[in-house]
Amino acid sequence: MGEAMGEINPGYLKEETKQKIRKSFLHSDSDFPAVIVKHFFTADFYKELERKISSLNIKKDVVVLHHSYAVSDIKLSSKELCDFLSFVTKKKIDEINFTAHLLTWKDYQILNDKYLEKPGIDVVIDVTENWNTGWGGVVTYTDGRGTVYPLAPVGNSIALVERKKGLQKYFQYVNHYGKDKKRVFLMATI
Amino acid sequence: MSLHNWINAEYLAEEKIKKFQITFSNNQPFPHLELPHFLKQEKIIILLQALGEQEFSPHNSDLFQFSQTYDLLHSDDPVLKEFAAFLSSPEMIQFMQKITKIKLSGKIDLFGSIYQDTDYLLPHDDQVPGRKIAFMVYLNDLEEDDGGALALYESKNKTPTKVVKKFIPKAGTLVFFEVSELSIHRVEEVLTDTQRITLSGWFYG
Repeated sequence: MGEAMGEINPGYLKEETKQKIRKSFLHSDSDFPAVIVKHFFTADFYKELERKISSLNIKKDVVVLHHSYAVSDIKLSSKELCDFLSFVTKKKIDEINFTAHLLTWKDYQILNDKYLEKPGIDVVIDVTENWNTGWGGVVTYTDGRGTVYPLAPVGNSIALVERKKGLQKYFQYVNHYGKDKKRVFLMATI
Repeated sequence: MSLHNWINAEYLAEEKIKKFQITFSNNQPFPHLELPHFLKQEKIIILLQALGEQEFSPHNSDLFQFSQTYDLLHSDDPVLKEFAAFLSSPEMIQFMQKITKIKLSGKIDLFGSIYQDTDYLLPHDDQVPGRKIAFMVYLNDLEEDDGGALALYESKNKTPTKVVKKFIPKAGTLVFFEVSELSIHRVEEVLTDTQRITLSGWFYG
């Protein structure tokens, strides 16, 4: 995606705001260090992103004991986004590879010892408008001891989650009330 | 304990049991058996009444969403106590051993479960040390459109590929299967207001 268009909401590019977001993320004492930024992209860029996603060749991928959803790689690695993420996470990020996930009725991701993720920082860009959590499809983190941390689905938001040791994520099953609906988000780990 | 108190007499004839042995071991995608009208009608009614008095807790995880009782082996309810005693009786254990040719210890787990609209159990194999046979007794009827079917997966090179068999719950039916790395199964989402009510658990070896 070109860089001529301003991508990130200018409000979030102000030094003071960026500092607040970084502080909120890095200085969290929570067992679930995370920050969600709403209205993250500019309206024009968000429309462009939606258009780009709709033109992707998203293919269904099923591993019965782990997941059922459609995925596609997506290029979304502008300097503006990398600089923002570098600043907030204090990690040098020159490139970031996202995967677009599309979940519809009956899709899911479950935990499986063969697919454990190493600790890292998840970046989740939500591109689903008006999603009802009662339909399922919620990206959910769990510490494996019964505590779960669901990420509220909010269109045009970006979530940064520090996945500490022992923290794993799954995608809640999409039930029949989500029939004919599409749950879309982009994910990357840095 | 006489099995006649709980089971329809047709299932206790020696010839039938021999046929079940063959069917159980030959059934695909992994050894299993469905015995319709296994429980006597009057027992289904009193079991439903007894379960109606039990506390069901919602269970949610990456793998499932449904409501379940605590382990009914410790229930104070006389009907459920008697049902647990029937399932773990030497006679019933022998009945199951004859059909499955699997050595059982007599230890069982027993839970009541209710699946309501949108509830589900995603694919898994049930493997836990000691579990030999998974079983479920359906206590009410569902139609295909209600969802809630038990679905069995075929595996290729020990990797589950697709659902090849489904059981739509019918009151009084007993379904059981051998627990192994191949016993991948799921309970499909319930799609209507019809509840799916079962007593289920495992026979241990």
